[in-house]
Amino acid sequence: MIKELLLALASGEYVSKPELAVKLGKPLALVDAALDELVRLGFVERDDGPADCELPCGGCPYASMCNRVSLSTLAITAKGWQALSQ
Amino acid sequence: MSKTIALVGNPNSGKTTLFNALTGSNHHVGNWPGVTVEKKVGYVRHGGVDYEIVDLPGTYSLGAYAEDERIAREFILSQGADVVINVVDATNIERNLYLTTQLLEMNVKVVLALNMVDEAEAKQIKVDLAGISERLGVPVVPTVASRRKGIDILLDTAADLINAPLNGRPHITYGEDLDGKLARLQDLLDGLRLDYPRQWLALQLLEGDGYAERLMQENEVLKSSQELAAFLSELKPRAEQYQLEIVDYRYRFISEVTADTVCRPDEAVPTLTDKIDKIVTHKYFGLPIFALIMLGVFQLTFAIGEELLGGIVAGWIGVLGEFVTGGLSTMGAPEWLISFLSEGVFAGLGAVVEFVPLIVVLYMLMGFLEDSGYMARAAYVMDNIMRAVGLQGKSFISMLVGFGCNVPGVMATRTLENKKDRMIAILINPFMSCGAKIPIYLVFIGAFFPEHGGLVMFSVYGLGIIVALLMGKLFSATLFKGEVSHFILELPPYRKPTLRNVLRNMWDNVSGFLVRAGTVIFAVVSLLWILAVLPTGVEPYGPASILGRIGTFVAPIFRPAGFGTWQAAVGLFSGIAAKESVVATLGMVYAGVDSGVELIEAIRSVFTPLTAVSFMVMTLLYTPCVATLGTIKKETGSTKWMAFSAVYTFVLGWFAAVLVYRVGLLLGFA
Repeated sequence: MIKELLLALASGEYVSKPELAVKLGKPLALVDAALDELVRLGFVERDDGPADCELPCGGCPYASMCNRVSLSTLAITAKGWQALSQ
Repeated sequence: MSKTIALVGNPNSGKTTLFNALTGSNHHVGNWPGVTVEKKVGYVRHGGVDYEIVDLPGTYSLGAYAEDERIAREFILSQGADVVINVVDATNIERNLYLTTQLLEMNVKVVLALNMVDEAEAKQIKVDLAGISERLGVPVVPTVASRRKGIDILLDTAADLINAPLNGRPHITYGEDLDGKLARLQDLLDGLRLDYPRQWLALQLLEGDGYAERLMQENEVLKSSQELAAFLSELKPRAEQYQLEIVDYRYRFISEVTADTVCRPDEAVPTLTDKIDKIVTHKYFGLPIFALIMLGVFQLTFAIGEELLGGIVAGWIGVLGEFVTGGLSTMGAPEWLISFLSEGVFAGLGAVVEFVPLIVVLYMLMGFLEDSGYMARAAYVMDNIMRAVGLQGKSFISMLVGFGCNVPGVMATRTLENKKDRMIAILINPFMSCGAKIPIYLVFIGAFFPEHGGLVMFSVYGLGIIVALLMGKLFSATLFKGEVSHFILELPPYRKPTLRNVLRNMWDNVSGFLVRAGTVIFAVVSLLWILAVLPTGVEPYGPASILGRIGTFVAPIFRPAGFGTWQAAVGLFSGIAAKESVVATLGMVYAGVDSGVELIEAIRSVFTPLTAVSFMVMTLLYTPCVATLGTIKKETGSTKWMAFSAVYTFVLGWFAAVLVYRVGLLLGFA
């Protein structure tokens, strides 16, 4: 299942975790937990979007003009690609 | 003699509540040796036996990645506990059982406290306790720690287990290949005197666990086995693959355990959000839907902002301007001050500020889309297109940020790890129409296309995206070649937008706009006003003024694009300081020519619809403002790339404007 998840990430076709759960035929709770475990082990990385510009909004002179879009993405890391290629 | 019970569980599983329920106030708090992680130890007497209860740090796993994990793992492995109570959240069994699986691998005595069963019941989650117990090979006790339910039975079960032999454990397989390697490792470890369970140590060595590897380097017994060292060297290159497979089999095991023992309502049924997403993120319909929504936003902006609110602020500025300059004249204020305020401040700054109603409406509508969760879908749709042209998918995030302002847009490229991807994202970000460019479009739309404002605005934004994609494609095929990455978005569920959030989003943007108008734009207008009225003795705001001479010198560059006037030239160049300055400068120089004539009227007399389009294309694409250029220099760490960005965007903007104008002329447009 973990490999299926990683392959699903590699295909980049899936939109959301619930849809991923439906496609894999697994409970959402299990998919959720497995994705978190992949993140924890460094096979996948989570990016919570523009907040990662490393500049705290409070100290940013452009904060009021910044088009903050709340997005969280999961992407395979180099470690993940290496494991997949093996 | 007292017995020791360790409590282990995921964060938020109710472990600490259970600890308190077991020990009452009979506990003390300290730190684990050498670290600042809190250690709680309590005491309870049950069935005539004293028990020491150790509350281990909450953790999702027993790996070697975090301090909490290591403390929990080392305490259990050091055989510090006679029995482990694994606290499992009954509403989230699947996630919690990962830790349970690792406890089974350690071959320790475990009682599973299925906590919060009341909440699970409320959520209609049905759990077959006997089934789970049988498949895990451990006793399972339902508890509600917050109400002390099941506490006595839990202690009874733990006491029984301490005195019972360890048996009935399930065999967790890791696949034929890994099982074979594990057996071989266990054989090699068998002859050695070790303090750790062999099966567990073999598994950790196969996974490439850092702690186990250190053990291999430091433990004299392990170091002495050359055969073991040779086998581990053979395994090491594939450690990541083995780790992935082991995790995979753990989840298979969890999946098998919970397959028909945990039943949730509407499990694996697509939610309403999923159903909507099927349409709005559709491979083929997603983009047209996004385009239609944005067109609707721009149309509404003009319908509400222009037709209902338009003119309100302009009227106020006019009245205030007349009042202030009239008052100053009456008071006998110097002519230069009246000129500065009327032509510089009120005509220049006023030309920018009068578009506030439109900007208010636009940002309110955008805030509505953002708060509903749709913008995240729009990002997904854009991401698909970006990948289709071979661009790094995550670049779209910085592009979206750039729609607000290119400075944070360029900074947002920091999320891209690959330098080549980052360079492309930085170089294409200025093509995103930032908020500062909006007044420029609004002036020209107001002058020539008031009936089709939404469509024209939509087309300008769209053109910016198309040019960014084309340039990105060009850069990725030439200057910065690289792989395309894949990822999934965690799209938030749709929600009803709240007025508070929508208004806050709008206010953030509008206040930013006004602050810039009062600072940067004011400074630019002041400087340009001085240049427009000097030297003394020449007609202010005329071609003989310093500003006029500069504009006249530069204007021929723009003649092929149809707007080769000195006013347009200085307007464009002032826009490099800040984009709003284009409108402020035009407002000032045209008001100076014929005081009292509104900017839009003046624009109509100088530009044609075709040159207006060509001018808008130029302002969309040409050199970014100095703040953006400064950020590009900072982010790329190179003056060269900053200069490249300034020059290539100017050249591109110029060619595009000339192309629009010349093709327009050929097609018979005026």
